[in-house]
Amino acid sequence: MSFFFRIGVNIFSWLCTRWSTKMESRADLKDEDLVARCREGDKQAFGVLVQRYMKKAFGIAFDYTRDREAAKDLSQEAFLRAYLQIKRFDGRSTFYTWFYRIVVNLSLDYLRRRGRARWERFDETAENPAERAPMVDSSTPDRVLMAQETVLRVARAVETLPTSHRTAFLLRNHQGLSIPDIARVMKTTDGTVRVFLHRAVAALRQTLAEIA
Amino acid sequence: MIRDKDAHGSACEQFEEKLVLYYFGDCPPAEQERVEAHLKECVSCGCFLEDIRTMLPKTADSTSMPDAFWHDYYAEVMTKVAAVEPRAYWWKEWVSFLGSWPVPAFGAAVVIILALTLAFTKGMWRADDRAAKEIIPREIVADPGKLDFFKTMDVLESLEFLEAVEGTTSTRGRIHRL
Repeated sequence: MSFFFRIGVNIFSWLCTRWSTKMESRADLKDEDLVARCREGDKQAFGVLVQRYMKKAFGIAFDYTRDREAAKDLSQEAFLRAYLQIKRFDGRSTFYTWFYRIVVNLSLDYLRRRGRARWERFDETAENPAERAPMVDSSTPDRVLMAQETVLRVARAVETLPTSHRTAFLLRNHQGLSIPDIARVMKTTDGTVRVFLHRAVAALRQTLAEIA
Repeated sequence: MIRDKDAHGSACEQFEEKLVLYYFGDCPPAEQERVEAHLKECVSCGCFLEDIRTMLPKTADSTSMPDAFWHDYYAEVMTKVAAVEPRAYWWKEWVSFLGSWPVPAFGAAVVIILALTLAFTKGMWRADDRAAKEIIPREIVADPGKLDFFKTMDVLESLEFLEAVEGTTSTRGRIHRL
């Protein structure tokens, strides 16, 4: 009797070890392996991808919307779409460029839908710029106001850029993506991205020089 | 030669794009050396680079959120993922199993089997034997004696025929005898 009991305990401990190893190893897996597991229905593997990219996704959506709630909703929606469409992901590009593309497209759709309302809301929150400018020099009240004003103007200058220029600029300057990765996200060539980036920076410099 | 231009003027046309790439660290090594050499002698390009070094970090807002936010964020995403997961219906599995090629293949197999069965068992399957049997009314079957009556009907008909033939003959004979 005790012999069978011992065998049962051994099997149970082996299964537990195997399960915990599996859980731990997921975090070490590459994106492609996690995607393969997601396709097999492993939701925990998708959870690892969420943890890996949630800050980036939120950051991209926030760069476009300048609204934390909207950025949260959009980035979560992007994860949901990625999960539903993961079987269609052909693996020709990396997971994160594919996923960033979803986030960018959702953000641009959101901006198109919002249209004029976006600017109205931007002006409303300008009354309380602390919400939008968390990183300002707070040494004196005047400096605070000036810094907040600068941040708002810069943000508005970025928003006035053409969509393609802004996308290239935000992904490079804010998210630190390489030019080839931006090209994959935007489905264009490296050379075109370089041109977009140059034009965006030149336009921003011009706008901010006028402000200064 | 040091060229001087206005503070917020354009950089040299052929170097402006390279300066942007240089700022982002996307310049190839050879280009990088050229840009650095040019910066030593061109003030306007130096101003351009200085401007973007000052300006671009300001465009990137900090979006650092507390850990609690990310914890809730993750939980919400996983809840949504669990909610949208399609339920496994048994009939959908069957439909997917019988998708595309198996249905026509199954149909063709059934037709072939039927055709072969009919071809090789021809004549083995008899039609209903009762249909082949003579239909005898029930009241007659109940009284076998009447069956004989009907059987003798043929004889009677034959007799009548004989009589008719004979009658003709006898009439002729009588006439003949008369």
